[in-house]
Amino acid sequence: MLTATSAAISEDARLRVMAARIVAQSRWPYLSTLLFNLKIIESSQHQSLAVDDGWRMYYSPVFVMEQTAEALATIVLHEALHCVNQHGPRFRSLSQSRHLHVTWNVAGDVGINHLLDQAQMPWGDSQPIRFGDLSKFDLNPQMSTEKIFFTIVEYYNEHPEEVDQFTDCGSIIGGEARDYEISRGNANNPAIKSDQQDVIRDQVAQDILKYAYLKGIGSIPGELLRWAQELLNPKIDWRKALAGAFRTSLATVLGRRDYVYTRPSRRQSAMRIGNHEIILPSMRKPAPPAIAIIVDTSGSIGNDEITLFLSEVDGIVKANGISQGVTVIPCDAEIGEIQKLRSRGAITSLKLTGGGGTDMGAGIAAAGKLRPKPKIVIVLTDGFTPWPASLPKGIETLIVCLTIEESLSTAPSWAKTIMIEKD
Amino acid sequence: MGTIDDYAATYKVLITCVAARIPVILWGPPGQGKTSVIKQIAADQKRHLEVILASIREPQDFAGLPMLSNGVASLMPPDWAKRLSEVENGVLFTDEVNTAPPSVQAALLRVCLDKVAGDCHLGDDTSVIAAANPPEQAADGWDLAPPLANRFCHLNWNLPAEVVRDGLAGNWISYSIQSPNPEKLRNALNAERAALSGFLASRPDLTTVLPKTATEQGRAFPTPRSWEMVAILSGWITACELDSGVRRIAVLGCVGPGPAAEYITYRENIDLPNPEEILANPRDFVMPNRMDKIYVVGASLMAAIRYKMTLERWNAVGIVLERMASSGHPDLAVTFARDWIRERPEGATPEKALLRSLVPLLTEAKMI
Repeated sequence: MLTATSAAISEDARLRVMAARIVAQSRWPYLSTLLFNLKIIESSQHQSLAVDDGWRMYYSPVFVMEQTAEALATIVLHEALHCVNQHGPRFRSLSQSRHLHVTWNVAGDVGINHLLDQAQMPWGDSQPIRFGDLSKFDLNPQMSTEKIFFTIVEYYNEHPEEVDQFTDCGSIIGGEARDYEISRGNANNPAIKSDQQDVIRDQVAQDILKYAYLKGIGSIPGELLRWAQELLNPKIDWRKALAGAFRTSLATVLGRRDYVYTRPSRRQSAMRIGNHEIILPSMRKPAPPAIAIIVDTSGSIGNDEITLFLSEVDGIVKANGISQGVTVIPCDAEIGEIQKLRSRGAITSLKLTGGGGTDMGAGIAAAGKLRPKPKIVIVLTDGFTPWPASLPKGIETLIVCLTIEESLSTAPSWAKTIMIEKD
Repeated sequence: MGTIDDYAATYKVLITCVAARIPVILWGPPGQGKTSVIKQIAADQKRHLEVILASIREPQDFAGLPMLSNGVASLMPPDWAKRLSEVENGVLFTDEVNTAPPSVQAALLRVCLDKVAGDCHLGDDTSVIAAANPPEQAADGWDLAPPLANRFCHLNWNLPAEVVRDGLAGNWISYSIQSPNPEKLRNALNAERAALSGFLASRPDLTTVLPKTATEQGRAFPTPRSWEMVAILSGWITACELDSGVRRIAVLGCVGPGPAAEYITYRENIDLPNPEEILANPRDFVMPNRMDKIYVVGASLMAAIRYKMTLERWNAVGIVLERMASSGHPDLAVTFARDWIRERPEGATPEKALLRSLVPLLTEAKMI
């Protein structure tokens, strides 16, 4: 039985949580879909605010009445970020012992609080856990939640006497359902199933990208924007993409074992059966092709980036059985000194100077005049360059590696294009 | 990240693809039990299965062996093609397609597209399944050529730890779907095509999007063909009463994550009432039972009155907001009421009843 006063507190507390949610929504409108999917449920068995894996948010009436709506909004956003970051499924996929969910919770919390601090969210009187509080573990904000978790777990394994007490955000972060959580099938507040959560997350990601498009990239915390881009437009490691493009070029251009019908098979004479003859293809494996790399030296690409790129190409080329090295052509508006790269160690001694003006066409034309003629030409550029209408005769594939995303659409459509992401 | 939910949904998409005769490709490292799952599915659907390893095959194993006979060249079909053409509803599973040389991949294209190997027609009732190791995991892997990639629904195949744990204990989990009632399937397919054409009419730029980088071209991207696959798979999923996670993975596998998310969001909200109809009869409007849907309705009403503002339309929104507040969602009402009051036309005043229901919350949020 509720007494009159506790009913009044209960009513006030619910109002405050709703108010906090509106404040949270007005701060980050792109999270609306997610925020309005959180069902709010009063629970005096929990000391603060918690969310379960069916996205039901439990609040302690006493706790919320101690907070201002502004501070509570920050805590609501904190819980919403657990939902965005999929902390529950991620913990499950680590296959760790379930009691470690408390440590996992801390690992998730510091990352989220760091994001909220960067966005200058008010916390009121509550003291959220921050990287500064965990200095003994030697963590930093660049670490993934998984990395932070394993660092802490390892520390506790070495220092079992130092295990700390941390708060719990509910089963949204993994582990068994907590005592205060209502059943998944509760008639008034059913849990949101994980597949529906995925759909909602997709929608939040779209809303983030739309908001960024309308209001500018700076209007959204970078981490959320990256999350949305990664979800809707996953990036592929450029090293793998480059190796793949290179292998395909080798195979389809020349220089790799493949079947052809243009020459008879060695075993053709054995294939006559009566009046019928079966035609077998022959294999061909011509000499490995020569390869040229054109490096944009007009200034916007740093030396470290060029070195990293050249050593990657060198590795890929060697792994594909081409041992005679590659030709490097530095190029700004005109070509520089053409040099041969024979070993990875020689990369730093290459002379790659340039500046002023960019025309990769000059480099491509120079590649066409090399002897032996390169079959595959790889260009590293920022993309702000004119391109020739076609390749010089004899060059069969052009792989364009771009360092700036905006120039993706300017690269010729007949080239293989790869985005080089900075690490 | 592989969770058991993702695995279950992916598994069901695979079954649906096999049943709906949509070519499907599984991307995953070796040793993930792909072959045994496919054997299980073929057995469940009582269908003949042929398993071939593309990486150790030659182009003539798919394109047929050219044979000169009395001056006429014919393409002799391989034995597996012969067997598939003789049975009805066969299933062809080609493993390691991307470690096969490009000439083998090119030959495979015709098998997947036309279901023809050599001079032998496998029959349109044959299902085609392929498996590939992601290029970064196969030392000698190639990206799929875009025309081949675009003919498949792409699924990522990862065994979650739970499945392996239970499997080693002797209980390999498997899933099945109910075969749909033909009448229901026909209706679902028609409804899906209508929804999809509505979506593409509003987003014509998504009809064909050729990815710009080489690796992405070897995966799912939108073209009229892959949207057609979306319509068929999503229709089947409706008719088989599978959940939205299955649909999400199926659509994602056909057109890639960005366009898939947009279509699914569009589809989720397609049954929401037209804002103009609500504005005409604000009292008859049935409040959706999910808060996020009410939010979408609210946003569409605000957009509608911004497009054409009259006192009458503005008042109609007030009625809807009041109903939102009184049906237990004062917070949603407040979200829209702030803009609604700020943008009121000349001479308009909000109803007292509405204000009374919103003021406590607005005060609480320090918004007035």
